[in-house]
Amino acid sequence: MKKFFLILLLLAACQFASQTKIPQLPEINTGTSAVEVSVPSLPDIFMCQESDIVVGLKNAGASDAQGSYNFIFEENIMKPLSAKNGKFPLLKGRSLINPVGEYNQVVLKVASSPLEGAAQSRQTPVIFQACYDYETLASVPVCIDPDVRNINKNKICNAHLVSLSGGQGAPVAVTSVEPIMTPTGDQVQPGFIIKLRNLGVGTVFGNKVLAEAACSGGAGEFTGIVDLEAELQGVKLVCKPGFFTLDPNADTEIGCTSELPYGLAQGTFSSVLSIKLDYGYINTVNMPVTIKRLPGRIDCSVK
Amino acid sequence: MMVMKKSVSAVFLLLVLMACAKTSTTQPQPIDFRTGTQGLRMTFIPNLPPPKLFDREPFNVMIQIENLGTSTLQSPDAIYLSGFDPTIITGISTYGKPMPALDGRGPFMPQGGIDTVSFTATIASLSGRRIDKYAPTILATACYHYETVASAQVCIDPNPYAPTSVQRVCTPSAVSLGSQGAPIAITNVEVQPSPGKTRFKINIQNTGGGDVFKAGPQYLQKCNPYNPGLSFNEIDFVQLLDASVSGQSITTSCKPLDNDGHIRLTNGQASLFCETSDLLGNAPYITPLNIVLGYGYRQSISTNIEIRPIS
Repeated sequence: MKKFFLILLLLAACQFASQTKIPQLPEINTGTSAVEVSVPSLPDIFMCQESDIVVGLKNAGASDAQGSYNFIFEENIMKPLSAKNGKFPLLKGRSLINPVGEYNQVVLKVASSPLEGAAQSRQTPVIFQACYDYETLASVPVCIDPDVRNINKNKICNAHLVSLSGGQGAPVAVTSVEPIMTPTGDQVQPGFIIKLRNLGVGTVFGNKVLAEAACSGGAGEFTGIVDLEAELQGVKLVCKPGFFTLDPNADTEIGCTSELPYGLAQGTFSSVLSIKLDYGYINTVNMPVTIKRLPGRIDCSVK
Repeated sequence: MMVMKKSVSAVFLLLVLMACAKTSTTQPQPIDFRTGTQGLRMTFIPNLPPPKLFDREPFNVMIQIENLGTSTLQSPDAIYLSGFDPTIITGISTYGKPMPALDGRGPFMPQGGIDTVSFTATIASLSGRRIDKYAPTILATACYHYETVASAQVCIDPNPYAPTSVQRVCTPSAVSLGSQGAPIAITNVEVQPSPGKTRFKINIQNTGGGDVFKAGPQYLQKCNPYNPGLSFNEIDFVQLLDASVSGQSITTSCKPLDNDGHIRLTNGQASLFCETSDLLGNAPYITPLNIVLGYGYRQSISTNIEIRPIS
């Protein structure tokens, strides 16, 4: 009887073993976030007391982020006891070995001024800005089809519009790529119309330096400027314009052309258009803080 | 007990005798082998290529090929691998791999030849090129020469409208043929008798699911996906190699054919009109109509793979 149960157990174990599947790799280059700003627990600040305002920074995108931060608040209501601005440490982006991205915190130490008259509480805004350099790396599957006359009925792919949704692990996303095979003699010169859009919650700035300057209240005229590089088969494409201002409300179109022609002898094949966008980015979070009077407290003098 | 032992021995002896009776040899019978609508069957060997790979790994593809038809496959027939970026999957020849010789099915060979063709390549580094994923469709294309041999038993009536009371062995009518163990099938033959002459309408159809093109090594080369390709005047053609009635060739009477004996298929179908005036006697008779078609054939299979950078 015991032997029977043992065999039964072994058979059951074999059945479970056959159901195991190879674990899937996490998708890294998806999403439209970069550095996400969060306030873990916004404390009530008591009049005349010292308090910490803690802000969490999580790099939820696929690129590394390093930059600066800035707290803006009414200094006649709250006095800063630590630096209002500074640099935040490098936050590594999501990767195969860390699919959630790195997290860190910045802390502002403040002391509140006395509340006016008999007011029991008061709300005051605290604005937090994170300014940093970010990259979008998009690998767009494209079809290189030198057979523009469609002689070959047996092609693996056709050059048609590729729509991309969900972003590439960065706030500025490639939304679509339209390949255009321009005939030149008996060859074709591939060109691509790349559409981009800021799908994140922040603002695009020229680059890290300018973004950091913007964090200090300057460089406002560089809003939306992005650098673009595109490669096909490891060869850089000629993109016009190479850097440009992103339309905040609509797709921005960029044209890139391969200088290398492709002939019928190379066949029709699927390749990858590699696009790199470089830009500065600013996240702004407004967090209202409530200052409360402690019972019986009239002013900040020590009794 | 002795009686029991004796009866067991008797049963055993009977069994042995019965087994001996079974050993009587039977002559192998020829089989009707000219059936089926396929020439070559290609399949990717499971996990070659694997559906998911990392960069800088070897890339191996193995294709099983099986001759399901009745013609022989051999070089210069070839198999090509295409559809991928040669700067990412490197080392696969654009000249393809020659097809191993594969015999077709025969009267005493119920199964055609089976073999494999393998391709070996390397995957370049993706991370260096800022590519996070490459997911191509790998296309395996076979280009081969094939022949369709059909034999229809047709009724020839040299004098169909003769007022006679002679017993007729047959009446000329359409003969359905189905398939002949090749991707191009002669589906049926219509017989149109007239005094002193019989015409045949031979209906041809591409039933193999692939592309048919003109027969000849120059067209086989153009079938290579890395070549400029077959033009509109080369694709959808079959060549009439022979048509004969009662052993007499009627090939020259067949229409519509170009100078090389090719007929164009429209929407995968064509009709060939042939005639014979060489009729025997005055009474109707049944005779074989033999047709041989030659052509190039292209068929392909595909599989999706996904390559990711290792770090």
